Amino acid sequence: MQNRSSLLAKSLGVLYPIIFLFGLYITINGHNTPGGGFQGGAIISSTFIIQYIISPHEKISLYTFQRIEKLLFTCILLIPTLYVIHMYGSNNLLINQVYLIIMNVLIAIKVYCGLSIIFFRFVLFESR
Amino acid sequence: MIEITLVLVIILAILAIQTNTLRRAIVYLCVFSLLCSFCYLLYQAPDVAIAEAVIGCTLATIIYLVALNKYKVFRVYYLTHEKTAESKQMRTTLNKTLSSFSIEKELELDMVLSDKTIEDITADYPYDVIIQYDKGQVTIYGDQSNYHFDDLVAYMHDKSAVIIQHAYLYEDEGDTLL
Repeated sequence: MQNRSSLLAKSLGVLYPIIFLFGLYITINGHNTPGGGFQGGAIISSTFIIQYIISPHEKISLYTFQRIEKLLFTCILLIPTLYVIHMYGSNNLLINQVYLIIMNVLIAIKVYCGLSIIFFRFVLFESR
Repeated sequence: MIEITLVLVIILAILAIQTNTLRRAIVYLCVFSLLCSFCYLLYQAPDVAIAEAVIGCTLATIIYLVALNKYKVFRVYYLTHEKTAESKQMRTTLNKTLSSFSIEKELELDMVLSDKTIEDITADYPYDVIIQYDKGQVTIYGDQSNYHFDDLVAYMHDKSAVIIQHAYLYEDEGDTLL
């Protein structure tokens, strides 16, 4: 319906991987630099908006996003429980770091799915 | 440094409240949250600053702009080929009526003059209402999914002295962003 600016599409296409890598960096280094799962996930979800601006007619499965989000929610509940039961009180630095990274990545993917669903529903379904 | 930023934050907050157009208020809010994020950085909280910059400045602004685009901007295309005094007078009359209508409904009127045909406008441009002036005859075209259109037709029949015809355009609804 609306013709999009090719300048916008091309420059955003160049920026897209850089923003994605930045979000990934913030997520994975969340335990020793500023940032973490929530911030990284929010940055990664802004790439979803960019993808929508570049190619708005691409099919996006809302159902898959919702399933992934539910699955990750159970993971986020289960992993700390298991960690507390098995590793509580251990001073092994490596295990603690691995635990933090896994939690950050899970939270990032969950935030990505959640914000994408909000944006998707808002833009495509809530019409005038 | 922190004092200057805090003063700017207050100024932008007042501007965002006091401005007349909603679009401008959204942009002021975007700058406001960017400055807030800078404040957090100066208070040694970089992780909060990142969250504020991403969510307050990017995601919230985009969602506000989409919402404004969907509900508040009332885009009227005025099509005419004639450039006589009568046509100009008709344009001013219609403009006055549309302005009072959009003030009553709290919309933001955006009137575009054009000499294209209706087919061009419906194919390529985002429109809410199209008004065509041809040989002294005024016709309004609108979408059936546009819930302001019937109100506008009734309003023009009541308040305006001009005799107006109206017609519906059938088209599947596209999604517009930005």
